[in-house]
Amino acid sequence: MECQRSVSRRSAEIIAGNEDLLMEIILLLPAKPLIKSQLVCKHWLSIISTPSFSHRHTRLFRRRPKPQQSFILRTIQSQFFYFSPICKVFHPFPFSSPYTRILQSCNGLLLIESRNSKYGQKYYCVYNPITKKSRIVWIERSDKNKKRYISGVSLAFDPKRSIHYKIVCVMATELFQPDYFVDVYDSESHEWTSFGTPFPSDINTIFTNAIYWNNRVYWIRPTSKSFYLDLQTGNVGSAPDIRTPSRKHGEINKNYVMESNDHIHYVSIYLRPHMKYLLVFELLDDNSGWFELYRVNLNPISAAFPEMNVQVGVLGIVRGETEEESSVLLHVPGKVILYKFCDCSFEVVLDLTKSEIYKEDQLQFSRYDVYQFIESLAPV
Amino acid sequence: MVTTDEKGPLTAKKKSVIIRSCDGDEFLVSESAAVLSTSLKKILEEKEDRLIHLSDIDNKTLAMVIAYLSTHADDGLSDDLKRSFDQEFVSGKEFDVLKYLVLATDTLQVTCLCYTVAKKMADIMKNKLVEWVRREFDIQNDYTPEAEAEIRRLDAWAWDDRQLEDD
Repeated sequence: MECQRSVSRRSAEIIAGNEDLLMEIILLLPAKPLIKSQLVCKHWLSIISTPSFSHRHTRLFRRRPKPQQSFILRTIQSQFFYFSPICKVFHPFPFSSPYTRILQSCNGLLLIESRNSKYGQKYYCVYNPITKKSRIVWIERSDKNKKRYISGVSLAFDPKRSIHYKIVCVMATELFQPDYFVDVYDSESHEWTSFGTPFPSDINTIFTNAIYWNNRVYWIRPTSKSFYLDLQTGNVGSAPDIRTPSRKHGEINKNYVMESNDHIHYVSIYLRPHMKYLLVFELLDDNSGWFELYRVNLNPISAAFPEMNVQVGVLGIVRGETEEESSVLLHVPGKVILYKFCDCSFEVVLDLTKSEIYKEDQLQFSRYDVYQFIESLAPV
Repeated sequence: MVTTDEKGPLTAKKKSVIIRSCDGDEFLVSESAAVLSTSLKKILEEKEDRLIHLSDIDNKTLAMVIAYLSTHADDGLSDDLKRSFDQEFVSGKEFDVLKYLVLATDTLQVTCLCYTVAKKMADIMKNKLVEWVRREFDIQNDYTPEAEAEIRRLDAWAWDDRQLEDD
């Protein structure tokens, strides 16, 4: 027995001392367990923190199973939290500047708008919440001495394509009936390229809350025309219109555009005192239309949670590996409820009624304050 | 002792090699299976000797690697069958066994199997406590309690996990 144990210790020692082999093993760990592996010993920390490790880890993402979906939530009072509905973990997730706004979460990187003081100059940075590394991206506001206004900044990052990212900045020449210029920053060359004025001149939209998908930046608007910019060709196209049931008299209707595990969803909720339901659409891969994925009768949930009659919101879609594991996160005052599409079951995954952020009859998170949290060591 | 490999009887036409483990047992393996290991292939190219002695791979581990090589050298099996064999191969194996396997496949340079085993190891490790990982890799914690607390504090969100296992 003693002999066997010493042999087993030897194998452990050899692996631990064989840096190449050890690296092959730990490269296959998802980012969150890797954060914890830094604590194994200083040697492991030094391996994991090298830039070459994070480059390889980002490139190898396809070989690792998709991690369970989690989110970053921002409360009405501007506090950030990490939230995993599957593990039921809810934990503060502070940023270095209190004047921080997340503009977009894109495959592991965050686009952040920040100020050093309450009325300080706004700046933009790309931030990896796992490695805590960030890069400030300076946007040139003037063009040939003409001032331009930033209409929207978005991030395009997809490790399937490249470990480098792009920043797409839409700028207006003036506030009324402007021309919109597009400049694109590439993190590989650290240079800006002008995409000119690709949008139709009569365009009437806002360039916030962008979604990067299939190498296009989408600006999806529930009630007006939606556009995308193709980063390969530089062309602008329109996204299909969304046909949802028209609102009946006395009915409240809320619409959400959200991403989940590389899919774009459109979620519509309809509320009447005795009839509540939810529709989930998905944008088809070829951009040809919206497909109705789920139709959910919310009455059983509102019977169990009468708070729903006061306020309700949708926080996100959680897509599992299989269709059976997919669910939606509903938010009522003080609670987050996970509803499974396959068997119509639901449970409270977050109860804040005893927390200090709870206020009676109020939602704690607004619709624009939910971001996908995707674990990645992607360099910034 | 000579153990023939399980896949089909050896015919006179088929070239074969004998591989000896560190415990002294010998395995008769078809050359087509042996050359799937880059290291064995090199040895066979360099010398005429049909007996290869592996001084750091034990019986049990070598038998498993040879079963893998023979299966993958079998032209009668479809790629699908080989893939499901690979999945079966690592499923349910203890971490200790995987450690020997990963070392053996690294020594023998059987890249595909090395990757399959490493992936299985990572799969087990991802839900384990740091203390478990240290034990399994025989690593001494060289952080001071203060440094350890500081690292935990910096990524407190990542540590708030109720699903980690210690066995």
